[in-house]
Amino acid sequence: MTTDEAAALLFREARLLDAQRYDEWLALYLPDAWYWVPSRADQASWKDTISIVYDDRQLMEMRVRRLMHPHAHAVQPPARTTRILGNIEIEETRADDCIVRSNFQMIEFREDRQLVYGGAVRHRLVRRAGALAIGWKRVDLVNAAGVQEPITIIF
Amino acid sequence: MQFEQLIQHDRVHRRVYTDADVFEAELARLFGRAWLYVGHESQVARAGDFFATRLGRQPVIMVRHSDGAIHVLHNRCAHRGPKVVSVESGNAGEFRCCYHGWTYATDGRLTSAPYSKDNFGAHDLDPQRYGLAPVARMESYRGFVFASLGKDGPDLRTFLGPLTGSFDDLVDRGPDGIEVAGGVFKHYYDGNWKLYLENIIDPTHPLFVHESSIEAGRGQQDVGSGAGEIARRQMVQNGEVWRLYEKPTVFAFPHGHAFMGDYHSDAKLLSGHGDPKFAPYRAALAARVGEDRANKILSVQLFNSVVYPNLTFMSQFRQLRVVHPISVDRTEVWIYSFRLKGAPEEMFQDTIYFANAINSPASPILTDDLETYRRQRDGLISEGRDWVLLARGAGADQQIPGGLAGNTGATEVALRAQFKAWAAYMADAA
Repeated sequence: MTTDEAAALLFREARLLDAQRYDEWLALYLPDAWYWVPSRADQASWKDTISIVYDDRQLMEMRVRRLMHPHAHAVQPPARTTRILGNIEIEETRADDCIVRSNFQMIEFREDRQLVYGGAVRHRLVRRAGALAIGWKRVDLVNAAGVQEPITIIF
Repeated sequence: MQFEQLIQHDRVHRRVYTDADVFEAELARLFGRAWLYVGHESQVARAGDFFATRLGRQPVIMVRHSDGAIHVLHNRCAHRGPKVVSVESGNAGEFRCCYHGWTYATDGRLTSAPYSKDNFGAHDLDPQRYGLAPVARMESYRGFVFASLGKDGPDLRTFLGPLTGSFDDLVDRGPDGIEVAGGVFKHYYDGNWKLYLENIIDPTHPLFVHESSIEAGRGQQDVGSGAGEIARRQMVQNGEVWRLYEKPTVFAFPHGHAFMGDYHSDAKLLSGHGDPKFAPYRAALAARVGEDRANKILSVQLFNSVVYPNLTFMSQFRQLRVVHPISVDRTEVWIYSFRLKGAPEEMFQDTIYFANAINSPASPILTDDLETYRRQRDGLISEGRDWVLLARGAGADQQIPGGLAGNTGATEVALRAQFKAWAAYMADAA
């Protein structure tokens, strides 16, 4: 797996999230995938410590279904986002998967407020039937331990 | 301003949520006098452990001294005023101010003031009088530490009244007691601090506010296990809140406190419904207190409790929320989870998943509550109407020992009790 190949998938994911094409975003992920945003730096486990997000595949699906519900008040109107990925490196490579590290910076705008988020991201990318899929994603926000505004987007 | 004129028995003037002068008066008269929740003693388990928080807007430290006693001290150097503790928690032998090195023992006494001996004018730098100032009053109930910034008022037990039962419900569920564990969620919202305490004891909002997450849960065919399973169960259960509307289930008390019964029917979320999943926990509890007592403890069905003005907690679900007012239209909430000591670790894992589902700033449930507060902030600016109605069930409240019960769960009795207490605090400028 090359860095360019990994980057292409990460860029695609970023594009789908910024466009709020959540069903297509979910389709990038494997059936046993998870999406994790820890509540503190260096968090070792999602079982003994709270997480801003710890979604198994089922909860990812419910999160998306709720965001698309016409009465999801917190996204009426929806937030808009634009994100930049960089510093993409393949951290570990195994036979049919790899761990990719990247940084992101994202501007979110909703109603009367513009916010900046940023952090380090790790993806597990897996080759399945010739194509790349996402096995899991961990997002370590620089302000994970800070006081948060309501979060209605997917990092 | 005659603040009590803003309150009538079943409606309040919108200015209680929008007027910065009202907010400043609340900090002095209400937050300056009432018992305020500080923290749980497990947060300062060992000598030297400290936890920094705020009472109203004022920075304080809860700290355990070498003799085991817990102190609540103003976090302000006696000399030129910096906070002496700048991190949220830790362990310290003493506290030293960054500015001129004044040093304080963990009971607040001044122990060192460099270059000051016989060089401080008329000030003798008596270790007590020039220490970290203690709060006016401090008491605890079953490990929950409260402080008051005012010298006068009822003792803590009298203040809490029947709400002691809600703390008992939380503590008694731990075979070996309880402890704060798993981290803290902190979030802001755009809206007045009172809105949070109103919403948390308003059983008629979930079917509307939480419709999107209720239906997201109901639509999930592949239910899985673990984090998603717990979240789905809770999202779906919010659609069952109508169970509370069949009889009196909201109970309100003096000083603005209240609790409500539980609407959950899902035996996988509730340890008291006999699901085999909880058999090891039930056995651990029974081994400590006996079968009869364990059955009695687990049969209690409480959902939210509110200790006005800065605390709300869920005894059955081991969640505790502290409300910090920032400004008239901005509030910060800190949310803690408790571990039932001596219970199987799976119980705590469920607590963590439950906390993520309902109390994370990214929660599919909570974010719709926070959006509602923001819309209240915006809507209440309107001068089209001055009054906010709290009239659901008004005129039909029932007397119970020490308080009132709403006629059914579809009631705003707890909100009326909050404002009755509010008016009493605010009427008196003493």
